[in-house]
Amino acid sequence: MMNRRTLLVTVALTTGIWLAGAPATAQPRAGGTFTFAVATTPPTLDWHTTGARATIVYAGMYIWEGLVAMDEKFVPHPMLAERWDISKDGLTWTFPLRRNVRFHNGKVMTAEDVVASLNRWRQVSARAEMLTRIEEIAATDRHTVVFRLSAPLASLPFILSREGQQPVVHPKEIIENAPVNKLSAYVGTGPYKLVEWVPDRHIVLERFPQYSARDDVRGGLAGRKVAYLDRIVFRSIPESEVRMAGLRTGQFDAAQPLPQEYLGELKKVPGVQPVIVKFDMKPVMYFSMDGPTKNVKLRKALRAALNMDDIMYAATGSQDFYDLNPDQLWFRFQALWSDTGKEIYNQNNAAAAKALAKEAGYKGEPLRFLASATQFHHKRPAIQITEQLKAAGFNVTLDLRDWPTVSQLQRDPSKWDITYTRTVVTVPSEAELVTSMGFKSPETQKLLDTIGTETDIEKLRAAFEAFKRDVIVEQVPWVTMGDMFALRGLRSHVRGLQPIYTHPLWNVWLEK
Amino acid sequence: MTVYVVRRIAAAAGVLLLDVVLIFSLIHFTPGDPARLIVGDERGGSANVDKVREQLGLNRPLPAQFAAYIAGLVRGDMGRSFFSREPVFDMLASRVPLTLALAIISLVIGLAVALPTGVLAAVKRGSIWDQAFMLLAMLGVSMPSFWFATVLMLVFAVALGWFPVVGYATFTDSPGRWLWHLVLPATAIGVAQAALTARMTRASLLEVLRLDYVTLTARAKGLPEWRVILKHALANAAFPIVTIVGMNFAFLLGGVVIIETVFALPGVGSLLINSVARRDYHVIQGVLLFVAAANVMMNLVVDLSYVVIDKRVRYGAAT
Repeated sequence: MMNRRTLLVTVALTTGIWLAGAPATAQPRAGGTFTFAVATTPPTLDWHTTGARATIVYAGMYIWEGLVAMDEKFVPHPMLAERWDISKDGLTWTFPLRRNVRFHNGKVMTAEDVVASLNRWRQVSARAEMLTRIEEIAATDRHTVVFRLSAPLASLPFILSREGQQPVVHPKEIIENAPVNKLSAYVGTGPYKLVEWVPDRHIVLERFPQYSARDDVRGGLAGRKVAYLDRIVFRSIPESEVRMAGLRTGQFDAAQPLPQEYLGELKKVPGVQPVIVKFDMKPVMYFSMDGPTKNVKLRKALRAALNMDDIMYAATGSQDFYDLNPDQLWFRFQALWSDTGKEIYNQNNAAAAKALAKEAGYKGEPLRFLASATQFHHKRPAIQITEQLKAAGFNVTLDLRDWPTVSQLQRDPSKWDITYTRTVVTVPSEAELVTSMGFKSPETQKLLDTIGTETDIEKLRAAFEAFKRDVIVEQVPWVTMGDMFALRGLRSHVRGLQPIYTHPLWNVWLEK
Repeated sequence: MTVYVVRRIAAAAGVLLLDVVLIFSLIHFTPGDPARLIVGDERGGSANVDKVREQLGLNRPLPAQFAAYIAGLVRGDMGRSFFSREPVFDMLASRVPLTLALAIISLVIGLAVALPTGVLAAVKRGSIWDQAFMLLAMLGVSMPSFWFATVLMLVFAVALGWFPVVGYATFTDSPGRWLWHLVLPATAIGVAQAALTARMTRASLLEVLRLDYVTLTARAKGLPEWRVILKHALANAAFPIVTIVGMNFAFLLGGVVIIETVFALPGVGSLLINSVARRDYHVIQGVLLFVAAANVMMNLVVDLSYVVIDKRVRYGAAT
């Protein structure tokens, strides 16, 4: 049975959420190869160790599964587990496993494989730091896995199903003692198995005929998965113009991402339909806790100057692709969304910014703004922000570097004062992201602790409201610009594809 | 001659060693951290980044890393990709045939266009042909190759559908499909190369055509004009043409980064650019070393070819 409070959280998170596309009316048919033109190639296929989106959505989620999986509304459901039961004191979680689930190498999955995989994940994954409350993970019999905790942890199913560095299950013999990024084989229980991975060229996946699908229909990465397509090929095509050209000629069945400016052109191409994926990223500005921006008044001054409409337009190039959402954490469709803090969002008030800056004792000290030059959705808004801040009297210099350089320099807060990246919060515990660039305060930590352990949805909501008010509005650890959407091009014979950013290709078929 | 070749090879080895040091230092002094890129978008995971760094040997001091790299090179081991764990040598070996094929086909296309137009422009100097060809050549040199490649793709792949937009088939799978996939990218490169070679051919031929043995001797012998031009003039104008063609070829072996990226061809150039974006140090070093070696080798081949072109050239003599 599911714990009542967890159920409440689940139900609450489910409410008020957008629908996943139009229901498919035609009868699905099996067969065919689906060629998907994508921009990047995975840095590694070792999902335990990476949060790289390419690893997850072009390979990982087809090959592997975890005990728990999230649907498109970010609600966790059992996947390899039959269900989960929580003891009254909240300290013992029992996961009975589904029977006769096979790995791609023919072996039947048992609790031993699950325990070995979870233990390896605890060693190699940074996300496992969220699980310090776990004392032991053990197989009590061939088909049961038990987690013993030192303190209650309501977000356990979220942590187990969060896509980045997900603790997916590998066969024990492959995973035991496998170091980071050095798996001897890529074998999972997923609906597709890996045929070939040629970095920078393609990933070829093939239907796994012995896949045992669940019966419950969910969405996202959860529930019933039927592999209609014989093969899936992710082609790595770095040029967006070329992804578009191949989509036009039918060489590709889908292409994503496409620059948002292509929307109008896509509408005109026969046989192709544009899809706006209404969940992509939140562009976010972080402040260094090292230089002048250590002063919270200066952070407030900088925030007051921003015109989010212009920034989001610069990021996407079209009003169809953003939402001026005042919530600094959640997308509008997420259950914990609220407009708390709307007074500090999109102020566009240079006079207020100047007054606050004066109050902060700012005397034109140079502020270095570090951003990526190699991604247009970083570069263009960064230029826009710089100009807005300059117009409000701040001495900002834009430091554009390539992404690898930016991501390294961000680790050293003495190298920048403001930086720009994109983020997404999908589970409550990820509110911790606000601290990732070195921001810390005792009350923040207290609120984050509450958020991490609270199981009552109303109390959780109250904790988040306090967090938004007392931390985000008052202490300005970050400023999010709004919600950003992505553009996907799809040939019209494709059926059943969910309009979510992970675009799973199971339950998808070709109507040819 | 043998002495000359040996000396040149020894010098080439010295150049390569210097390249290794330069390449290694440049890459390691460029900011960026492969471990961080492997770990991906996850922030707050510095413990994990440290684990990956240790795993990749990036936590060791630079001199130790350099010594390990050199020791590997001596054994013929160029290291492994941080990302795919594939040996760099294998990665290069799988990429070089495509780049080589692309270089040869574009060279053939380039020469087929450049030589006749260059000769015609020189012979008909000042004519409308000369002016038209040289205008086109100017256009070819100054046209950005990514733009020309995109135009070719939009016309011949998207609008007419004669060629595929992207993709690649190996020669052993199907020679026809292999060529079909390479025509557009090779044309994009070949035309730019042709423009330069045609201008060089014209200039160099004009110079020779002014010389006495052409204007007086050959023609006085009553040789037909085509023989005067092809046998007497062009053969003697060949040095600069061969030099530029050789240098172009060496450049092409380094992979035509932009064209390979546009057509998503798995060649040496796209390997380099993707590896730089990932800070995949061993692969970057391997590719650059290969490019340096290709340049040194082509220089040697060009120098030696002078002997074949002109019997008067002698190497290795004390004088």
